[in-house]
Amino acid sequence: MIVQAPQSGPGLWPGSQITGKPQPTGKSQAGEPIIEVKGLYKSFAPKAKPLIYAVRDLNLAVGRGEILGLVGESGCGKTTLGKLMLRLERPTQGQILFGGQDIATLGFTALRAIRHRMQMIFQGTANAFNPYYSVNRIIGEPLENYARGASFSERTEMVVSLLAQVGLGPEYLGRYPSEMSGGQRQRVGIARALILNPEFVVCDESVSSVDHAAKDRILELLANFRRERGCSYLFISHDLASVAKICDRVAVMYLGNLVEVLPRPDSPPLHPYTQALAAAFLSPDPRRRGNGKALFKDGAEIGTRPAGCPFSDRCLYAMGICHKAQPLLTDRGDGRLAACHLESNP
Amino acid sequence: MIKVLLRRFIRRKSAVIGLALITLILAAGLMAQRLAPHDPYAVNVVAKLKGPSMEYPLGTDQLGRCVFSRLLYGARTCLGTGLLVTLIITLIGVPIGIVAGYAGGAFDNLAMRAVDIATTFPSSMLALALVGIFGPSLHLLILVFIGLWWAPFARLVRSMVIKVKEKEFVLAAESGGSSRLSIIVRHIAPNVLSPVIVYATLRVAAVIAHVAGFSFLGLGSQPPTADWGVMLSDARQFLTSAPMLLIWPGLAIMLSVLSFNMFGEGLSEALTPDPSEMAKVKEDTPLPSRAMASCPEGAKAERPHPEGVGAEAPLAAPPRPPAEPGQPAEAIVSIRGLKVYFKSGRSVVKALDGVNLDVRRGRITAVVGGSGSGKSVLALSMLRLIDPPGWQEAGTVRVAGRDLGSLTEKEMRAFRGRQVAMIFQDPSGSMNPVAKVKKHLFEAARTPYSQRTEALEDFKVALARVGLNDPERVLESYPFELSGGMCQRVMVAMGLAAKADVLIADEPTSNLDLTTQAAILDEFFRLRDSGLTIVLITHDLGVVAQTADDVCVIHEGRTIESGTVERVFLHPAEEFTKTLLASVGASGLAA
Repeated sequence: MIVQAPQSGPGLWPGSQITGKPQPTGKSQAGEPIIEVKGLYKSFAPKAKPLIYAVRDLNLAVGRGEILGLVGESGCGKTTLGKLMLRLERPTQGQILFGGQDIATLGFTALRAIRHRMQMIFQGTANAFNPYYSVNRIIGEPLENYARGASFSERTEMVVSLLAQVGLGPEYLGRYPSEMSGGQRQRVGIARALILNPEFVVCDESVSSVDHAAKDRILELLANFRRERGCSYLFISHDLASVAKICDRVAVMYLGNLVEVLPRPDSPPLHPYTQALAAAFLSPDPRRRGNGKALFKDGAEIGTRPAGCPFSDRCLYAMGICHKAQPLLTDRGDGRLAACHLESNP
Repeated sequence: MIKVLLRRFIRRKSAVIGLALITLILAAGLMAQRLAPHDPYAVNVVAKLKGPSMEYPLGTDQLGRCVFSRLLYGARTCLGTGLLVTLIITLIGVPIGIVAGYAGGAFDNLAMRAVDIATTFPSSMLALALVGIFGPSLHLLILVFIGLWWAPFARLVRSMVIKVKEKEFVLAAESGGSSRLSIIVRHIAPNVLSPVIVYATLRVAAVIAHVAGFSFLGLGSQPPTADWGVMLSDARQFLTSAPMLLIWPGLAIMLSVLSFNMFGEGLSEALTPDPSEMAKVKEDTPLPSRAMASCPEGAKAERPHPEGVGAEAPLAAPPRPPAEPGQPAEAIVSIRGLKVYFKSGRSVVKALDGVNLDVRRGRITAVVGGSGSGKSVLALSMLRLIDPPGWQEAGTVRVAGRDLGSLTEKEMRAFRGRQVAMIFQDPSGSMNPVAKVKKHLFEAARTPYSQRTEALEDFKVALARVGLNDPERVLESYPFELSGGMCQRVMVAMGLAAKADVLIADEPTSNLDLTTQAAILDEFFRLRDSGLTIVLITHDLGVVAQTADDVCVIHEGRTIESGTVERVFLHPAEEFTKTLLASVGASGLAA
């Protein structure tokens, strides 16, 4: 259930949290994380000079039962990181520890043995589904691979019960992706990912391109699954309101780097980029027009990477050192990590 | 799905005729033994070079053999060769193409080098050379065609597979634990099937024509084989005395090649819907709105619509004066009583059921509504792009004073892009993946070849204006090399390059992060200030509140309320608008 909680403090993050969730336990230091990446690099053009990394020296852990938000500019490597964690992409370098096992270099067959424990919810676009597959086959396919003992009717039963949980009736079994709206497809995508009871789920923009009512239903659904089955999520989104509602911690990426990890979605951001991101949130109140002023310099080269700190060419507070050395992600207390040369909140 | 394809296929007369001819010729060849009145090799010198008679339906040749019987048996050789060669090159080319495309790596390299080698040999030359060495033989020809023609097939399939395997459903199958074989057979193969079928059909025609040609030259089938090419070759000597001898095999070859080509093209059209076809359909069937415009009904639609709540001249008397009173409040787009219906199975879905909208020149007008409210259909209506099974049931769409229903398809093409440009929701999906950005811009701006160099400078400016700061690199990029946000910016730049008066943006920022969204919306402000009219279609009330001047709320295909943003958002008149605004409040209105 989504209940609006009173705004807690002057956090720059809009909205309210979903109540009744367990206290954040997902800090990498507390307990064993379900998945952890260490020194992860990914380059799509390994021969290009200079080397361009979609993901660069990334260290991040998702705790058991935790919902970790991942925000950042489009093209900053969020989706790539999600796919790397699930080994739908092969990392160029680095470790991916899933339940303690390094899966970074496993082959196709070895990965099949653990695929059912980790799933991805793809964006609800038409491309996410085989156009010749009905909903029953789409959701039932993972079952065919992992619930081999089950008969067709048993599998259909499981699909129907999960469909009901995502709010679609059994009449959707025979539908094809082209016959459904974006919101319906999104829910089918969720059902496909959850049918195997995964321990870790990557939600890639699961609530973009659906309207507000549908968004709330989907968030509620994800929260329910977490509560009932204790799975963990990496929640990739650019919708800060949704991130604020559902996530325990929030990681912020910029140009392939992790620049900040907030211990709570409503903690005030420290990194100038996170501040810019929060400031760009648009209020649905026309009187507040102009409040969402950009807190970054425009006119920087998009897609190119400056020397030193990746944000240095757009940052309002860039100093001399920012153009020379890349800041490391350091602990700023309270479980907050930030990669910035600035000592404190500017 | 199959039903739809079948219907699309049947609608093409040429394709159906092609299929009928193929069936006929195939049946003739298969049942030659029963149908033929004579043994095709039975010589009857007494009755040589006879005209048609009861005994010899098409007469006899120089040896008194029955021409009709020889034609029937010839169908066996010709179609048989065509189908056999095609079957084998399909069996070789398709698996190689699929595996090379899916697996990549060393096998791909090896396969593609083999393809390169095979495609460098001209098939006719190789056939001539081998015939020179081994002597004429049909089997040799078949081997040559198989040896060379699998290669372009494999290459075609490989490129299709590469395109399909990037799609997310293939990743989803991998993530769902499917084996490689299952991914290939169940997810990739069906999605590359349609070009494979079309290519194979057209190949059959090519093989028939080639084999007949070689046999005619005496390099393929040898006399006395019942082969159309051989018959043609034999008949040459009797060109003056018995010209019909030449006509029959010629006709047979022509008809069979033609029928496969017609069938193949019909298939390809049925399998790939193309926009010009829909336009054609529209011209064939009277457009309801066109009929409306010529009858008094059209005038009726101009009057206040009793159904639409915000219908009474939505923006004529807003509670507040327009933000900038100096600006002319002229409506550049004016929609009245628009109804667009879709046929879904046996029922009719009313996507739009009485929409009224005025878009004032030089302002940003937002159309806001939930999923399924008909927003996107409304956008398409402004370009008259409603495809079957949808149609415009009633109402008028006027842009710059012209009723779109009264324009011909040709005028409409000039109108789209020139006056009204559209940015689609899924930018990477609506761009051609194999065309560079500059090509998209040339097409959008309809730049003549002679002016392309100068146009590039304009494009760089346009790309810089939408916040792409390395325009030269972007111009040379393919859409898949750009991120979603960059693609979206390129789409905006395409609208700019077309110098359109009205830009319709369908969820332009819904897939973008906030900083990119802020930059694009900033760009919209700048564009509006330079005189462009923008229609912003979105479900994001934050975007509307911070960007739009006017807003029109639609729900279930009807206009609920419209007016200036301040009026509608701060003093909503309708219950639905209030609920809508409240739902946002719950999800993020920082008070």
